[in-house]
Amino acid sequence: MPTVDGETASLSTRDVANASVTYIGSVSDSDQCLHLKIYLLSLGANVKEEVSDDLPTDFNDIMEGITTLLDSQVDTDEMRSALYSLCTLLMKCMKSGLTGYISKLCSMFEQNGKQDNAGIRLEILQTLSFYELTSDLEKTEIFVTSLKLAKQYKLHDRVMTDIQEVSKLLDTWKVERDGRIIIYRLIRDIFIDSQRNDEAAVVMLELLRSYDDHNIASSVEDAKICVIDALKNPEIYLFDYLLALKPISNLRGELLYDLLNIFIHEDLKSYVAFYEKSKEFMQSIGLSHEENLRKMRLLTLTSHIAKAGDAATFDDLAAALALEEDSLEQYIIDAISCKLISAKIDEKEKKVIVKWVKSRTFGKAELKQIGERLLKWKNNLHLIRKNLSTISQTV
Amino acid sequence: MAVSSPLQLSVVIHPVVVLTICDSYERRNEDIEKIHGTLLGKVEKERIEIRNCFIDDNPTASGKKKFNLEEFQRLFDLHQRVYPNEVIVGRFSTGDQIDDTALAMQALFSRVIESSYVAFPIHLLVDTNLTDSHMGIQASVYHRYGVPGNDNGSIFTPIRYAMGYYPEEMSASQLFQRNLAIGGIAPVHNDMQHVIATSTKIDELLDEVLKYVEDVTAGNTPFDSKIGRSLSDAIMAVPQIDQSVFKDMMNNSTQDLLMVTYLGSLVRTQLALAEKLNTIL
Amino acid sequence: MSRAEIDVPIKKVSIDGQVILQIIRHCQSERDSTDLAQGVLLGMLVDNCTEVTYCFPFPEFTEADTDNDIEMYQLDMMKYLRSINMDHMQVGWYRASPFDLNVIKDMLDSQYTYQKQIHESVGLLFDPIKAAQGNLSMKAYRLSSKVMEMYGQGSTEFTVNSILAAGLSYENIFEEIPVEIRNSSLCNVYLAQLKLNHSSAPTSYLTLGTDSHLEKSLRLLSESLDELHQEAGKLSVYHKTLRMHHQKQQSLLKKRGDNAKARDDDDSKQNRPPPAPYRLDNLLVANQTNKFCQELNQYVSQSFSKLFLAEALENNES
Repeated sequence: MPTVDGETASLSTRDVANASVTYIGSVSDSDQCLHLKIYLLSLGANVKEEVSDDLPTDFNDIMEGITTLLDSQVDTDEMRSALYSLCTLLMKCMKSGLTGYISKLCSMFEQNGKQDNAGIRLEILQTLSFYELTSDLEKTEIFVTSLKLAKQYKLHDRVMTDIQEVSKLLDTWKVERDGRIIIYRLIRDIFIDSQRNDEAAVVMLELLRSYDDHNIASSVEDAKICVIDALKNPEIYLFDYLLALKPISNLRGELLYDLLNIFIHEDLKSYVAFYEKSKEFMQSIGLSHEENLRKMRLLTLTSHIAKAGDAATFDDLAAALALEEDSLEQYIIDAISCKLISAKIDEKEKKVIVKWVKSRTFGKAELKQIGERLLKWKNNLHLIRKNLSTISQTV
Repeated sequence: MAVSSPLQLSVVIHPVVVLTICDSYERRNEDIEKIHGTLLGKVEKERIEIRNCFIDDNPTASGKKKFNLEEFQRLFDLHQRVYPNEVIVGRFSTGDQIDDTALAMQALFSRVIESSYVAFPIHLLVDTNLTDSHMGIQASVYHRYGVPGNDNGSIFTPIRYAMGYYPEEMSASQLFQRNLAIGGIAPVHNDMQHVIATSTKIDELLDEVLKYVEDVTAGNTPFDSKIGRSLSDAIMAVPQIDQSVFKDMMNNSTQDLLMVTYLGSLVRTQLALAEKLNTIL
Repeated sequence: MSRAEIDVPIKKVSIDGQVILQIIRHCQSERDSTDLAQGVLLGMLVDNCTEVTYCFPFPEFTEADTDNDIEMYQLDMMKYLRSINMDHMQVGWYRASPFDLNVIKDMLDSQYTYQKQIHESVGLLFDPIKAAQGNLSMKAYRLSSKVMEMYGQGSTEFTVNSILAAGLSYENIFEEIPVEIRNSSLCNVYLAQLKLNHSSAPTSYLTLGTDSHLEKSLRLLSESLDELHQEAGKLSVYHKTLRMHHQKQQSLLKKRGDNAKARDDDDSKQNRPPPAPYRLDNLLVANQTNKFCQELNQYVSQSFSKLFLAEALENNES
């Protein structure tokens, strides 16, 4: 299987700007309108039979009849041909400078139609979003309508949901923060519907980043959902990235924020104390106490080992984790498999030989350390490379 | 066909197709402005891979030569003998717009070629005129529009695509790109130079990362703990072996390699000697 | 053809990028079959350089296909190429050679056939395994004119004396011509646009595990040494028989005395010296062995470089 450049098929931002729809008609505009009108009439639509020579008038009239088409039982290929015919007429109207049709079409597509023709509606919308005369605002509107249709009819693979691509598009279209929030919410719902919870979590982060000071008040719900999802996720142990998000740091003072803090900075004792004090709250957010205990034990283990290093004995660890020694070994193995620490167990000495430990918070200090290590590598490599070059020239 | 809508398609193009198109474009007859041809490739459910192309005969100066379907069939049969799995997936043309000729050919092909191969034929437009100083490559899907009984025209709607590479193609393409920097013509490496070239690449990557770290420390770039963690994970992934174990490993490998070198030189000496002896006798 | 007499030395081979990608594609699709991918190179001669601008692959011709089929296929392809203004002069052939294993006798045959008809022909060997690991390896070969002459007269010509006279050795049967890659400006525009993701580049050759490759190379080397040994055996047998024949001749001469001259004609039939062995195979095997050694050297130097690089990254631990 060849590798594909980029995870999904995508047009570079440049090509999106240049992509154009090409249509070549074989009949005149008025004939095309006439054909459509006769067809719509045959389906029982309420349109006038005559065509004038004025395209906008005819087109407005035809638009009235499209609802009938969308609600009818016409088969897919026929529907596609007819709607594309409408699409080309719309593009011709836009060419003569008229506006507002795309909005009208979007709302019409949202409100009418059945499961069978949902896919076709999405096709038409995508074609229009590539048309060069469609404004950025209209493109955003089309995208929102597409997401709504995809969510409603569960056509998740027919709309762009890759977050990186979507943010690029939203940047190109200069979408405001409020608009972004709506779009990210829709995408998150689509992911949840199709059981892609990891991707939904990523969207939530992007969503939270779109809030800024003036609409921070409305972010509270979303922030809480995000924190609870992260705490619930059995594979996430390190939560400090959440604090960097404004809406979450805005939760300061709430019980949930304190809980998050415990998971990031504190140890098992603090958690148990918190639990005893706020049992109702814990029940209301639906986190399993057992799960939380397990996570906290692993995290406390990590911190302890980080502080004590090779001097960590089984006794100390067992005390900190409030466990028997037998269960302690299992926890150490768990920690190693979760990649929180890399170590070997010395059973004779009842000690842990530590190679490295992940830090629960990652700050600038840690980044500096990385920088130093990388600089060393770079210098060494440079030396070796110089030597190799001289050798290869003489060979 | 499992694909009911072109929105589900993912189109992958191999670079050899575009290079062939560019090359044929440069060889076209003097009075022609565009060239046309057929795209071939493989279709697997919703993934269309465009792997090769045929060029149509150039029309002669005296007028357009009619497209000969029989000749095309013969050519396709020839092709199938080498690549039995490839089918026709669409057409291409050059220039900045899809014109009538391209449309006529696309329509012809959609009628004549079996639609069981690919439900939605692709049209590739390669902008060899370089408008906006950019070779725009656009893939579209071809539809006819109209009402039953009255066909009103054709529409080409853009579709997203990606470039796809086999590992060998990736190395070749990277080599070509590297050559661009040194003037476009370059010899092929031997093994050791290749390792040196890769270490140069590693150096560049390290530079980029170091720059990021410096920026963040100076405060120019916002600090993102996720990136920091991925960096630290990457560094931790370097297996940390004890000094003594590593030294042993190095020594063993060095010994093996030296021995092999010795054997190689021995054999070569033997060959030279044998030749001399044979000729003396 | 008179052109063959003009001995224009070919100094380098220039290949279009498109041709390389086509060859890669052919090798890719033939990867699972037992036959090696091979095909024809087309192009032209410019100054001292053979330019390769197009190629087309050979399908697997089964035994049912006659030579005529092969001819027809080539003619059909050439007709098509002429109609789209491609260079239709054959300038050589290409073949995939994984692990640089090449059947030398076939190579010699093919290259001779091509070079006889068109002087500028080159044979191109491409290693798909190395390319998949990130190192594009293309080698072009031609036969020197001396070899052309001698091979033309049949492989029986290659006796020890004739080889000595022509100054041939196993090293210079095949001349290696440096290969260069060129792309037209339009293609360069496209290539500059490609966003090649560096992280997806194949870097598997950077692994330090060299054992299996070394093993395989050494095994191939020992096999070809066996063949060499056989050839050397043949030569020594010949020398022995020659010596015995001489001794017989001497003893007969002594016995016959004066009547030797009269009897010589009768005896000459029975006393013909044994035929000199053909040394062509020996040359070829020696060449192959030499190639293996060179490849091994290359591989070893590459492995050493990798080891040193790994050391650079390791030195600062703990």
